Amino acid sequence: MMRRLFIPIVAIALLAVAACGSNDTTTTPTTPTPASPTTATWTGILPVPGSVSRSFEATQAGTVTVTLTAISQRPVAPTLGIGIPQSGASGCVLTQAAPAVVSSDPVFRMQVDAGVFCVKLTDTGNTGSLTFSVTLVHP
Amino acid sequence: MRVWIPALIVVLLGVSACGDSPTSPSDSSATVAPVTEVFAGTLLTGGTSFFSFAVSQAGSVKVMLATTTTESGLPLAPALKLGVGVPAGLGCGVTTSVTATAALASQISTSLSAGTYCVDISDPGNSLKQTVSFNIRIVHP
Repeated sequence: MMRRLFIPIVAIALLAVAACGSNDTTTTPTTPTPASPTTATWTGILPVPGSVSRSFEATQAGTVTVTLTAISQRPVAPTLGIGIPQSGASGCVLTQAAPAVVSSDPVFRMQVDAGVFCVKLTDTGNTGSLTFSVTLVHP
Repeated sequence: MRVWIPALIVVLLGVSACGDSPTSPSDSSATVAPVTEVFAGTLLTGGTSFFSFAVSQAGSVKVMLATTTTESGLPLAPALKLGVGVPAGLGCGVTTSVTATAALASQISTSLSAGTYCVDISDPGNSLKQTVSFNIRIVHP
């Protein structure tokens, strides 16, 4: 009698333990795909003489383009630059600089590492304020 | 009937043993977040300057000569010698070097084990016409 009861109970216990297990599902590893480039529009008013800058973050290495799409007419072309942010009065320290002339072609097209970078518009050769619009495309 | 009690305990223990039992991850292989340091300074004609940094664990190190400017901030593009090495005496014992101009992509990318290293910048050919300010960005574990 005892054996008759014991065997099915042990069987139930074994089944219960056998039913254990995680609900893990097998997933297929995926290859990371490059993120789509980010497009940002930077517009503003620059009191002249003076400069203004903004930073942006490249989330991975890739190509950055900086295109000046609009700017107030000036007798002397302001300067557009690209570089890295620096704490203190410098703000944005430039790697390259070029005359800020409106064009459909980028003023800068550069390879960058992942990290934080900046663009800076400077006008010291004119008077009065100017308005501008810059398009940034970065990884 | 006495058989029921131990048998029931067996069943309950078996069922209670079900489920995922999370284990604490081992820290031995944990990777630290990369650290970004900026080495800023000035370089005279024919001069040398270096900066020491500590790598906390083996990994990739990237060195970028990001800017070279006049002291008033105007960008310049002189070709300078950029190197990585280990501190030696009063200087930096360079083990890897390139000739570099300022850019926003690293000019040196190397794998280093944990330890203390240095970045060195110099003007070996006396090519600088004036003192330049520079910024070197270093990303390391």
